[in-house]
This record gives sequence, C-alpha cells and structure tokens, in this order.
Amino acid sequence: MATVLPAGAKPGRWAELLLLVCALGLSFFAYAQVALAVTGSLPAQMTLHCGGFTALALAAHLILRWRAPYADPVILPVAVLLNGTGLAMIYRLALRYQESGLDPGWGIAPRQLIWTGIGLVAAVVTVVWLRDHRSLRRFTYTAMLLGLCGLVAPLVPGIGVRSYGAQIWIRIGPMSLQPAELSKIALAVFFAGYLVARRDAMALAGPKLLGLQLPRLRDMGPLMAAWLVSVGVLVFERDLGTSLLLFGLFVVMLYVATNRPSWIVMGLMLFSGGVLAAYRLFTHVQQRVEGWLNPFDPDVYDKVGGSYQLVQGLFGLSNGGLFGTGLGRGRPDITPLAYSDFIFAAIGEELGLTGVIALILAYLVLVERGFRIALGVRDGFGKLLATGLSFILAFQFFVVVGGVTRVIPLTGLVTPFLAYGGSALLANWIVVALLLRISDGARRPPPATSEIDLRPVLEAEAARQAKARAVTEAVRPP
Amino acid sequence: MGELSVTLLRLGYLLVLWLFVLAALVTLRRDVYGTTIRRREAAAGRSRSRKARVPMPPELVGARPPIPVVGHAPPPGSPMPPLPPAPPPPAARPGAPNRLVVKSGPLRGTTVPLAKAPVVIGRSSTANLVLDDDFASGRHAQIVPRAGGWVLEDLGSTNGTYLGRERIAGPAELAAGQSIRIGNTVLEVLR
Repeated sequence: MATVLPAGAKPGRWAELLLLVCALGLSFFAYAQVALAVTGSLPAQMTLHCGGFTALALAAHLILRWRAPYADPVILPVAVLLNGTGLAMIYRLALRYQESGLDPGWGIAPRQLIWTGIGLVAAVVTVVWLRDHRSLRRFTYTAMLLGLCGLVAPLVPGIGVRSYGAQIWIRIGPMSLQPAELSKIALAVFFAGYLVARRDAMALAGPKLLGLQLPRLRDMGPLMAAWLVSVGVLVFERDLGTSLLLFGLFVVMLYVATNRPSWIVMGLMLFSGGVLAAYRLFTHVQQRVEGWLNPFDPDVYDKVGGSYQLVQGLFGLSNGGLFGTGLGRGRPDITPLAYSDFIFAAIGEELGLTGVIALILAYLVLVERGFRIALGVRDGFGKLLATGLSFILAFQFFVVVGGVTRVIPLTGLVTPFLAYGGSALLANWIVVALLLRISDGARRPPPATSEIDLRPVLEAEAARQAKARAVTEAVRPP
Repeated sequence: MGELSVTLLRLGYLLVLWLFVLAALVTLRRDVYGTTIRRREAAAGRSRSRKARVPMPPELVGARPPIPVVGHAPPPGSPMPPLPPAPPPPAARPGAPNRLVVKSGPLRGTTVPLAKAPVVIGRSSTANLVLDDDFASGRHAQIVPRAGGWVLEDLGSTNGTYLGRERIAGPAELAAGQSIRIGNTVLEVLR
C-alpha cells in the first residue's frame, strides 16, 4: 500500500463554505423552478424549508471548522447538492401526483425533508462524537453483530414487513426502516477491522497456481461466510441489490487489503455461480434479466413485473434529450416509482444529458475523494474503511444508473442521496460523516520537527558545555 | 412567464450546475500537483540513499556532540552495548505503561505492546519498531523492563533521544503519558 503525502495541506474551509453556498443556491433554484413551472408561484413554505436546510448545512460546516478542521472541503457541498437536487425532484413528483390524484397517500416530499434533517444531524453527531476513526476498530466484532442483526431483523415475524416482494423493512410504531442500509456501514467497519488484522496471512500464505497466489483453505472461510450471508439475503429477503453489494464490498476490501488478484478471481467465480443458481431458481431474477435483454418485446413489456417501468424510464430519458425539458416541465411521473428506484430517469428527463452528466461527475468527485482519503490516511484500518465506504456509494450509484439506462439488469438499490428513502439517506449521511472524519486524519499535517521547540534543550546543552569548559580551565594550571 | 425566461432559467440552472462541479474540481487541483507518493519498499531504499545528502537542520548542528555526554551513553560508533541481563519479570507495578504509540511521523498510529521483552527502536530492520525516519539511527534507543516498570535507554544514537523536552543522558524511568522523541518521530507510552 502506498501513502500519498500532501504538499502543505490546506484546511480549505473557506473553499468549502463557497461551494456549500453554491450547492444550497442550486438546490433552492431547482426548488423554486419546479414550483414556478407547476403551480406558477413560489412554494408557500419556501422560506421555512430553505432556511432550515441552510441552517443545518451551515451548522455542519461550522462543526467541521470546530472538530475536523482538516476535513476534505468538497465532500459536504457535493452531498448537500445531491440531497438538495433529490429533494427538489421528489417535491416535483409529489406536486404532480397531487395534481393527477395519484398521490400515494403520504407526502413523500415532507418526509424526505425531515429525513434530510435527521441525516444531517446524524452526520454532525458522528463527527462530534467520533474524535478519531481508529477508535472504531475496537468495535470490530460488535459491528459485525450489529450488521448481521440489521440484516436478519426484517425476517423476525411481528416487526418485519414485506413490500414489493422484498422482505427488507421493519416497522416500529409509525416508523418503518430498512435496517440493511445501516448494516452496510457496520459491516464495512467489521471488514476493515477484521482484514487489517488478517491481511498478512491472507496475502502471503498458500499455494501458487498459474501465476495466481491462492490462499490457504482456512483463509477462504471468511470469503465463504460473506458469500453465504449474501446468498441468505437473496433467498430469504429477495433483495438482489443488497446481496450483491455485501459480497462486492467484501471482495473489494479483501483485494485492497491483500493486493492479490486471486481474491477477485475467486470472488467473480463465486458470484457467477450464485447468479446462475439465482437465475434458475427465482422468477424475479429471471424477469429482471428478461426485461433487460428484450425490454421492447410486447410480451415482456405487458407482463406483470415486466419491462414497462424500465421502458417508461428510457422514454423519459429520451424525452429529456440533451438539455432536458426543464424542471417541472416533463412527465417523469409516468414511470412507476419515479421518486425512488427511477429518480435518475426523472432527473434525466428534466435536466437532460447535460444535467445528468454533471450529477454523475458530482458522484465521481465524491467517490474519488473517498479513495483519495484512503490513499492519504496513514493507518491500515482507515485505508480499508474509507475504501469500503466509498465503494458502497460508488456501487449503489453504478448499479442503479446502470439498471435504469439498461447497461446491466435492474437491481433494487437506492440511488444515494437522490432517491426517496429515509434509512438510505440517514446511512449515506453517516457514510459522509465517517469519510469527513477519516479525511481530517488523512490531511492533518504531522507536527514537523521545527514545531517542537528545541530552544530549551539547546540552551541547557550550551550551559552544560560552558560549565564543562570552566571546570577544565579551573583544573588545568595556566 | 414567457418562453424566453423559461429557457433562460432552464439553461441557467444547467450552467450553474456545471460551474459548481468545475469549482469542486478546481478545489482539488492541489491533489494532482505537488504531492509525493511513497511506497513502502521504495521508501526504505530512498531514505538510505538520501541519508548521505541530507544535512542536519542548521539549528541542530551546533548542538550535536562534541558534548561530553554525561552518563552511560557510549560515544557514537562504539560497539553496541550488551543488552542488560534479563531480570526475571517481576509483577507489573501499577501505573507502569503497557503500550507504546507512535504519535507523529510516517508510522503515526502504530501501537507496540510493552509486554516482557525489550523493544529496540531504530531504522535498522533488526529493530523491533522500525522507523522510516532519516534522523533516527539504526539502533537508536531501547525500552527495557526493569523492576516492574519500563526504562528508556539511548543506544548511542547520533541525534539523541528526548524524553519530553530533555535529551536523556542515561537510562530514564518511563511513566505513562510521557512522550519520547526520536528524530522526527514522537512516541508516547500509555497505560
């Protein structure tokens, strides 16, 4: 593993403030534009909503100045921009649903706004409470337990809820949560803590075959365990996305920890085996693949669980063209679930290819910062954790956007920050807070020798020398 | 609202969005220009070759020995002092440190447990804690258990070993929370 040392790291807090103001302005611009286009006037509670969002974002900025002054200056503004854009788009769809009487019965926009607030507060609390990311290493096995509990919780009768065929929700009172979203973070912490302790054995021991360093059989155990957990999620909860994410996360962190391509090869082999078996056994996987390969086939298009949604999303994207229809002027509501799984298609319709590429670049910047932090931080645990967290963001985004644009089969994952979903938003803000915390450790310059005040030492030694001279001169006869 | 203002708002939003992304990238340009990347293996070789070229910082040059160091530290270049006879490990005194943490320098964050055996610190690969530090000697200092506690000893290093701000002249008893400076590296003993 290499370490990248910055040449005189600047805190960059003023740059962050500037970018943050831009991101907030863009979000409010989008919000106002949506309302102007749909209702012809500014939203009634615009001052309240914008004021609240600004206050929380600026509070996060000030907390960073106070508790993590060397944190990366780009992460917070980019997250705020993505979250704000998602909010504007969800508000836009909620307006349309109300208009057409298709309102799903709950206000998706206010809920998402509340979850944004909760997420930002959680991020701030994480940064304040966690003074040093290395202290998370102590909770390696606790994190594993919490992560597995989160994965299993929706299966517990009484609190688990099945919706859209997937059993991934728990309902406690009026709140419903997807605990798997938070499990991802806990499992990333566990993988980082576990692998940083075991990586030498996993990297070096074992036979060599065809130029590949194979691991010993007993070091294969954790990989098999991760695979089994992923398969369990797929079989019992019907959640293809989370299953892929967990396995991908483990393989990637294993590869980064050991630098051995053989792990990737074995991971891909296990992945192909699992996917083939899943394709044979589960109709929902078959439907996804069929909808991906032949979406325009009338049979597939009309079937329940067919490609109707995917094709409507594609039509939306093509309707948007290069510059989009303008916020509030398209028909993204035609696509089913446009506010959650297909928000990317909705945004593509109204902002066009130009806007979508800008957002993809924003994601790219976010993920690049994560990997850059991993290079910059000096301890192995921090490196692995930053890699894992940024991989979570990157993989979710790739899978969703790839699915919507028909690059890969559609998989149910949440577009980070953009899509509707409280648990996911909360989890993503915590991921951002952890990345900020690690980046503070990575960019903080180590105290140079010149900063340690050597004057007292030098003076004491000069005095001692003078004394020694005086003694020798006194003893020696003139 | 006229068609013109709608178009202007629509394109204006996209323009500002792109300006934001570009501004974010401009903020990051320092990452591309002017960083140094060090690999573990390369760093070892380089520091060896650089040793000959890099002079001491000027403020240190005047202060280096010819000082007749009072105490047990032998002059630089003399053979290694024999390791002290290992005493039977007595019960650890309460308050004695039990781990050594690197606080700054390239190895920041590394923790070495202080269990029973002496810990030799230095640049040499035979040391227990191998420092990647140009201002550390091959075998720079050691921490040995003695009478239930731990004692810091300089092994005849060129640049000296500092306990707190004082350069140690002989074996010095360590208490939890004290910091040790060796070259550019600051270590701390903790309980």
